[in-house]
Amino acid sequence: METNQSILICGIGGQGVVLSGKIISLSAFYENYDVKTSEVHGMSQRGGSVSTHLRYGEKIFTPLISMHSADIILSFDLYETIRYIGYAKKETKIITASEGKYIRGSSSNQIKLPSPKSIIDKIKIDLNLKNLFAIDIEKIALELGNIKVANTILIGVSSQFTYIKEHTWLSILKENVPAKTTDINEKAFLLGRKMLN
Amino acid sequence: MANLFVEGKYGDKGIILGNEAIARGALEAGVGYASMYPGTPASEIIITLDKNKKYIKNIYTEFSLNEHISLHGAIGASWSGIRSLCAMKNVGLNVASEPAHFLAYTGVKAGLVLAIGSDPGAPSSSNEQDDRWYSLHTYMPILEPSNIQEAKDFTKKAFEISEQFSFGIILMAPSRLCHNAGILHFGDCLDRDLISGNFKRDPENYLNLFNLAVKNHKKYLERNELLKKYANTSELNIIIDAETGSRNHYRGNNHRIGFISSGVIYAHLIEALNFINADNYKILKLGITFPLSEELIKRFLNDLDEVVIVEEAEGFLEFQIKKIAFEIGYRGKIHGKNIFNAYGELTVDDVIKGAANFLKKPPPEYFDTAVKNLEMISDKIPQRMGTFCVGCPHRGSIYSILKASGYSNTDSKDRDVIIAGDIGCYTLGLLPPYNAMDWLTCMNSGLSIGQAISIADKSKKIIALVGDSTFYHSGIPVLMNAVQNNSNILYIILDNSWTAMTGHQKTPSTKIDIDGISNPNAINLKDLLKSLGISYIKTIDPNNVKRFSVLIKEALKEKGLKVIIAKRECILQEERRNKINKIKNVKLNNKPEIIYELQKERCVKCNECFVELACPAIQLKKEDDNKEFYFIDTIACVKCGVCYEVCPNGAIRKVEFNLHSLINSEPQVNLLNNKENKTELKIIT
Repeated sequence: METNQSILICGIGGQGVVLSGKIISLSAFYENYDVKTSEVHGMSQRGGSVSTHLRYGEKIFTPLISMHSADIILSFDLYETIRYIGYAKKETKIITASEGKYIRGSSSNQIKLPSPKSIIDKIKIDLNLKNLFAIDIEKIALELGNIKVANTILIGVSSQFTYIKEHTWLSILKENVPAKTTDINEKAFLLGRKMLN
Repeated sequence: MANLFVEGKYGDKGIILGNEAIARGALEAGVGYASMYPGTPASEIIITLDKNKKYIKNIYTEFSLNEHISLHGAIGASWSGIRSLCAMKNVGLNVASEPAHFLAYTGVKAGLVLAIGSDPGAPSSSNEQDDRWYSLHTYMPILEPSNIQEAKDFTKKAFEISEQFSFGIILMAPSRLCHNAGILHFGDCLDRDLISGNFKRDPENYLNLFNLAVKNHKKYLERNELLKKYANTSELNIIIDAETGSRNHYRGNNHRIGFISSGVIYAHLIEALNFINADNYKILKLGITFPLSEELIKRFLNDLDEVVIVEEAEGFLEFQIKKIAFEIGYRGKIHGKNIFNAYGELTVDDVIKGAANFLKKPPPEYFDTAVKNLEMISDKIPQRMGTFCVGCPHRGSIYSILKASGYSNTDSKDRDVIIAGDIGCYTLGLLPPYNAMDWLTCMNSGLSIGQAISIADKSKKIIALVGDSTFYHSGIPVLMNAVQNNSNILYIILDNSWTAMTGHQKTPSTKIDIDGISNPNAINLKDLLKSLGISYIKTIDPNNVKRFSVLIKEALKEKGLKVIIAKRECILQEERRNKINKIKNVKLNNKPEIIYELQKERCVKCNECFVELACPAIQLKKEDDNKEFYFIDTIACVKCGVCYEVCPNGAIRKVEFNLHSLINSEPQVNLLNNKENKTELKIIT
């Protein structure tokens, strides 16, 4: 049973939450694990919060992760990380973008959002969730030459906490990104994978 | 990998979406007719068959104008001996309830499966209705798969049961199954060469009037009894013993308990019982949730002291099981909705808590930590509301309507202009910052309710909104009613040419499809309106917001029924088609590129673009000195130009340049002043 892993992927519509879920689940499937995912559709293209629950292992009944039991939280937006923090336990690896996209208020633009630094401190210190890795993916992706590989970097980072082998990740990644971008995606993935070493 | 969905055979496996698994089940069963009116979460069931139809022999797919037509279509196919699949979302059955109520009377010839996507928690619906209750009077049997594999297997089986007992049969799948993915082991498909229709008269069953109807009523009640016998022994209903499968465990003085569940909630239950290390229990997993077999329930209840029914919504199973328990004189206790909420989605956490509570096991203590953690940190983060896509024509429409009525950016309860809404992409205008809509219930509720208010409260002006797909769904009778009764109302048809929210199915308004092929059968909306005798009809491009709001103001001054067609294609489809064309047609790449730029030195932060128009491509950024400024994200921007039009200060400028020329030669910069004193930068060579 201990081979089961629960991965929660979150972000905003359009950031690649669904595609990331697909890449992870196909990788797990390729290695003969049972895998189940659950997505919330509807707002996916319209700027709302989007999340995917993904569980893989020997035998999975429900794809839904219960509170306090995610093994990995993979978040493309720091503010979204907060929304799903109830799924984290002490050991959870929280791999998150270090920045969050501005959230529009209801009738004025004057919402004061906490600063990224204060959020990270709060999660690490107040909530005692030490395994938080905040990564400036946009900056790194731009340095690599394509902002769109930002999420691939995060998948790379999280990959080392899974039971899935590197060559599996790479072959699935290649099959599922646009043909023109396979090289840069591979680079981004490997960069992420080695980042925490 | 080749197209596994179509070509997969016994021995193959792959990861597949719940909706695709249902479609595959139908394919394996030799479905020949598949229809639906699109609705989340069920849409992909028919989309999957539709997009693969060129690889599938003898299949017809249809996105019907509404669910009533769609189910009737499936009935017609079934009567012609073709296995048919009809899909719809939960509220779709309200529209299709009429044919659904006759189906038991007439029966079917080839199998007919009605796949319903229910939506507990209402992530994409306007209510949480549990359609299973319909079966208490339609007598349509219900199958509830609990995972991806069962979604396929049960669908296949459903066709057989449908034929065996001559009922149209419901396959129930909540969003949590429709949009889940998992591993599917494929089966073989029936030989598609054998599919061929042949309608034969059957007056005894198809004609229902007077005593003929009574006779058929009696007949289907008898068939229902036969189906109960089937349910008693069917492998779709299973009893699971938590220990060894032997009954020894339950002997003695042990307090014997059991759980009854179905569908994805069964999967949650298994996970939950493992989670809290429960033992010494039995589970009845119901695959057929209507009709229930008295014999089966009796068998399960008999050796148990207490039973918990784990299900979502109001307790359809509990209702039936308690009735059976009463009839058999069961003495134990039956729990259900006293433990689990009748509203909202039942999550695995809810099931863990409920089961732990019932078993008097301590609830996992870290739940509190998790909740506390969440509360401590998340209450300061506002909901991230969904909004219109960048460049969506509905943004222009809602902005214009709010400007014309004077209610932009307010959620005031006191308004003189009523904005009546219904279902569609544009409905997102009910969310902040627009707060546009006054109500949201069902399809075409805008004009219908609005007509009555125009009579009941003459002090108000009423704008009723509708999208093109919803208009064609059931709006024409409503509009004719307004014509007949000379309603004093402004009706705005937001015609974006597609059923956009559910993934862009064609509507009768779709003139050119995504590949650029024109539809000779497209309906001319204006001609249609004229033929109804409406004299006030105007057409406008909703992105032309200034003219649009003037037009609305003028229309509101007129008496009687006024119709405005706000016509502009869904931006996503337009962009997609352009992309396809660009690949096909290199010449198009030579067209000048446009960039809209927000000059921060000219911006006075009046908020017209950021808050009132609220385009997501306009964003807020902090400078190093902590000062905030707005800018246009040029990657997100689709150059619709609406912000350029609304900016009262000329801070947004349009930059036009020719990429090819830029690359090939030194550009010349030419500043042009236009009459509104906006600077247009034109780089020309």
